[in-house]
Amino acid sequence: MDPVNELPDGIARALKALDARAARREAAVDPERVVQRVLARLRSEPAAPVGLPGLASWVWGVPRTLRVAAAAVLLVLAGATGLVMVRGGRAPAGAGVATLPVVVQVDSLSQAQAEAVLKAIDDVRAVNGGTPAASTVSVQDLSEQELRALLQAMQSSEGAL
Amino acid sequence: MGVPATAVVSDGDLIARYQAGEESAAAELVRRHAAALARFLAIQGAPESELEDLVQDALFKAFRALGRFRGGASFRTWLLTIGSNLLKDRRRQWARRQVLELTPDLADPSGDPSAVAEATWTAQKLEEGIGKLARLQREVFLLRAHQGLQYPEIARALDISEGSARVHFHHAVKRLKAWIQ
Repeated sequence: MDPVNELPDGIARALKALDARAARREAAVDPERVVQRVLARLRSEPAAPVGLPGLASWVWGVPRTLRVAAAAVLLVLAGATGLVMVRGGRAPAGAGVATLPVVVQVDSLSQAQAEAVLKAIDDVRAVNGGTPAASTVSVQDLSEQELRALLQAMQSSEGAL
Repeated sequence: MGVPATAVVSDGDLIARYQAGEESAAAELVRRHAAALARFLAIQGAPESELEDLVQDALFKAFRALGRFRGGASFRTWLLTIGSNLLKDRRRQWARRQVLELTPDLADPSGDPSAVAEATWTAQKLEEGIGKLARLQREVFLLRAHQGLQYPEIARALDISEGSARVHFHHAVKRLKAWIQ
């Protein structure tokens, strides 16, 4: 379908008139002169160095939808791990660990730390025969073993960073 | 027998040749697209006295940014969006130093004076209306109504969804209709 047919008559007429005016202005531009000027600038003005080295340039090379999706995943992750309350009562009985409530503040988790935590949970679930599904992990659903793995993962990743 | 002399080299091939160091490929790309770019900028209200500079700057920027051209839209569409952005930046500068159009468009003297006057008025009104649209509405409207592009290509050029392009076009037409009436 011709896009102009989508336009109301008044706009189509006005656009035609405007285009005629634009055509007269366009006639003042000499393409050959533009060619010479562009080539002269390309020769005389060196290309700027690539502005975004390494990871950053890779990130901007990724399609926008994927970048948005990745940002959304990180936001969900940050929200889900904003405040993890590990109750002392859920620690294994007789394990010799403190039974006081432990509050783990994880809103400052780095991406590496968050990944380590999720991987640890998945690993434990896989060993236990559970279905690894990081997106549905809720701290309230974690078993004692998973909670311990989570704490260990956080400690080890903290040491690595 | 070689390739016929009339064979048209694609923009993609010219870009590749330019990137390989062949300057004549850049010259050919400029020849192909300079006029269309000038018209696209003129219809958005670029003054005649500034038009050639704008075209030259937009082409220069495009060549410098070729590394970021992903080929989702055609080279021309991509170039037109670069030109539009450049025009938007220049408007801010012109607003500060009050650029005056020294060579106002003269309507075709051969036409009926009243028809010419009406055409001039509607063109002026539409140009003002286009200038008042939000950036995406303006670009979608012009790429669709002036350049005749299909929504998928517009969407790729502007990095938006096809549905979003349709919505922007719809709103642009609605606002222009209200402005002109």
